[in-house]
Amino acid sequence: MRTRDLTGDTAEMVRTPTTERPPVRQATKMQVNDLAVWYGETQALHGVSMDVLENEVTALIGPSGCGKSTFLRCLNRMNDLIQGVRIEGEVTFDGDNIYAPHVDVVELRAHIGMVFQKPNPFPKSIYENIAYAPKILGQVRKRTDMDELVEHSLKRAGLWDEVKDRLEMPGLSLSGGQQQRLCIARAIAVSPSVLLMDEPCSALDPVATATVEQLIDELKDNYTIVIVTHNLQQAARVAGYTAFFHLGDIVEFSDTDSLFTHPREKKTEDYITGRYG
Amino acid sequence: MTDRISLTPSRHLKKRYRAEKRFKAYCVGALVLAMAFLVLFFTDMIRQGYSAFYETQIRAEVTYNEDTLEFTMDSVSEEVFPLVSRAFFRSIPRQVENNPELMGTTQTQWLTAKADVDQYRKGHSESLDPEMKAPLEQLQADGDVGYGFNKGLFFSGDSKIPSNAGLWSAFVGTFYLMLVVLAISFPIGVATAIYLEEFAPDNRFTQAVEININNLAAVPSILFGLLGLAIFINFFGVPRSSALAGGLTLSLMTLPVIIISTRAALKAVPDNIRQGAQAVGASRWQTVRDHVLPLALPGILTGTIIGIAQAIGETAPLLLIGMIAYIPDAPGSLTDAATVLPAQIFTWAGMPERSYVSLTAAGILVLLSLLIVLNATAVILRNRFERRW
Amino acid sequence: MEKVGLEKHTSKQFDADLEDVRELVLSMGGLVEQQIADAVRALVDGDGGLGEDVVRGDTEVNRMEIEIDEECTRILARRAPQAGDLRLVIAIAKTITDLERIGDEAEKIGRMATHLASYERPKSAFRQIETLGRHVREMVRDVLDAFARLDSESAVHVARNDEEVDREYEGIVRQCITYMMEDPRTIRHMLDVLWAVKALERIGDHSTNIGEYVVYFVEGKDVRHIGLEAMEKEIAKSMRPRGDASASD
Repeated sequence: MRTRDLTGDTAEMVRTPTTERPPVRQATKMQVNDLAVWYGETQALHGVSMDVLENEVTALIGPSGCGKSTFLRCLNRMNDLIQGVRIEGEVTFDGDNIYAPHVDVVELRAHIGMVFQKPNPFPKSIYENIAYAPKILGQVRKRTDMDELVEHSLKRAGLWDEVKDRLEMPGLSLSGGQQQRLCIARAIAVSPSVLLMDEPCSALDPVATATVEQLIDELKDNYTIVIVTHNLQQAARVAGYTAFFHLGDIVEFSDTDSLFTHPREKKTEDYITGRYG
Repeated sequence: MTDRISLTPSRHLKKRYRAEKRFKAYCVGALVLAMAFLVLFFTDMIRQGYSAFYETQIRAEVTYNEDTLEFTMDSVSEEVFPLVSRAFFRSIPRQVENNPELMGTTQTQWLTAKADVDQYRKGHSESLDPEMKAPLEQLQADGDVGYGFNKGLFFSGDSKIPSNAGLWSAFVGTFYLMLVVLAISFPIGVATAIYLEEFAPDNRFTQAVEININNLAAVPSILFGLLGLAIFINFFGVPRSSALAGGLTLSLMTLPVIIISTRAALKAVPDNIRQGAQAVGASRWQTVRDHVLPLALPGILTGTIIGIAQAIGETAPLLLIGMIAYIPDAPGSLTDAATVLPAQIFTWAGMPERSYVSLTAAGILVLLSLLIVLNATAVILRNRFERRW
Repeated sequence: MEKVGLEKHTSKQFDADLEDVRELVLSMGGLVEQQIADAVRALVDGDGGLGEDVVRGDTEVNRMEIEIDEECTRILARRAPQAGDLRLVIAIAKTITDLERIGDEAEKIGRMATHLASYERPKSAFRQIETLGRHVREMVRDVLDAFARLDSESAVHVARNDEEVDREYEGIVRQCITYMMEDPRTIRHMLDVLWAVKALERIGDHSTNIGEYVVYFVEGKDVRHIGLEAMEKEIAKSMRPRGDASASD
């Protein structure tokens, strides 16, 4: 059958009765309201708002310096680590504001995992890479449970068959694509519900990229994924929803099909067709 | 008509090539010059010092009995007596004490010759007292004179008898000093560096601290000696000349080196490792302990070893706290008077006897070897654990 | 499956998308084939009701064209297909245009059938129409088979059949002219019959076009407007050195 139609666009529903399916509206997993970010004197985000839908891949695209990475890093408060940063507005996770004073950042990050641009496995064994976070968070104590969790995470990341015979090898001995999948396995080992990905494929070759994209596609059934990408095609391929950022604002946010076939905004059209700047 | 492109070098290009060749020649020249100095230094040291590693020995019968225990000079024959180092006779009671079975026996042994004899035989001095020359020639004819390894150089302490002078007490002193420096400057230095690099906010205060630490590394070492004298000895009452006083003083000197190298090692750990750890919910301290430190460790150790090597080779601050002195016995504890290798070399260099010249050179060779071993360890550590991120 | 372009992609979703759109094309083809059959039956049997059904059925064909078109646009926008995948999407986009035209022709025949329902028909002429209709339907089926099996040889075969269809068409036209000359009162009806027959002939042409798209997709060669012989030579050329068509991507 066709991919699900998420738009609930009535006009389209009339034209395509054979693929009839009630318009699926997922629950909102995270909600960003009027988020503004300053780095010192420069404002990186100008009060943006956006909903992140559950079990869906949301892509953030836009030219360099448009604020998409800043936005992503606000979702698990990674920006807190930067000096001189000031954040205003609200980001809710299952309805709770993650910037509320009682929220513990360490706890939050266990629920909202992150995968980075450059694969950054810990300089430890493959096993240790996965086991580290559950261990320090006290989620898993018995060795047998840990073995199970490591296997489960690696399987889910589609890496198990490639590494099951060499779990004691350093994570850095893997290829770039495998390292990135190891990082994804590491992130899902603590069973987060949201996965943030900051250009996860930009350091990978096309084959590894395709593997990671396929993985993202499989993961979306269980996780809510937000991905920043410089590669427009990647956004088109993996995301159900796409937001176009420009100069610290969200210019357009809609389902990927519409954004890439008939964007509402001229700026979006210019950007995705390569007429930008 | 368009001009054909010529691929043969133009005049301008040839000029550029010539300039390049000239520049290369300067660099090679500088390298050759530096190498030449080094080779010159080493050959000179080896030429002067190699003879201190072996000594003239004389085969003689040694009688151990009640009399010779009291009048030790009677233990050997009259002809041999003037040739043998006095240190041997002093050691007879101790030999018997260690090995009572010697009593009442006569042993044929190779005995260390007097320094004068040694120097004469090695050709370092032209003349020899006729009193010694005659029996020496007699013994040589009998084949009772030979060369042996100079164990004393390594296993005996300093001595005013040149044939008996050795580096042992300096070795022990150096070892104690190293322990003290390591125990003090390593934890303090690493902890300081971790705080500054990983935790401290970037403000005026930390910047000032940073600048001061960098300046500290450039302070002349003699000033550290003054500081040590004033603070550790006069104020805290640490015993003079002790390895503790020396170690504390040299720690002050080593600290900035360790702090700077540790900070460099921490800086070299890519940020994405920290972010990766924090993104899975590690706290700052867990991030540093589990990920950053293991990665930075080779760099930290390298810096520490180099800092300690520097401390081992240091003499000037020790002058002021009385570690440059005649210390014949190895120190038994950190608070005993001690000396160190460079101080021993310094002491020997000031001695008038001819044999001390080669001893000095030999000491330098030993010190250099020790430093080379330490630095090589640092290099090996670095290469072995260096990771590509 | 064998042959070009259907090896699995890393992205399973992409595979699914391409498979979906291919299946849609085949079911649209099936629908069109049925429309032709019904239209010809309605014409030959003088079944006006069936003719109206065919006319109504064309909306479904049109709807499918739009759906497949959108699917192709979506694939182009989201997957940026390359090489064999690109040729497949392009070939599909063109194929459905021709299928839709075939649908229109069937609709036309259906409309003529309704007009001619009450007309007393000369048996022999209509038997020939039935044969022509069968041949044309076989062409459509063959070309859809070729599309499903990525078989460029049978696609060329369809083009060859078109010559036969053209001859049959000429024969029917001559016969109609004879009828009209014999009895001028039949002219009005015969013109309708001619329209219908012309429509069948056009269906043959559209099938040939689709065959050419199949060749384009499978072989990567544009064989339009070069004549049947040249086309067959091209195919033979590409078959010989490779032996295995799966390498022709």
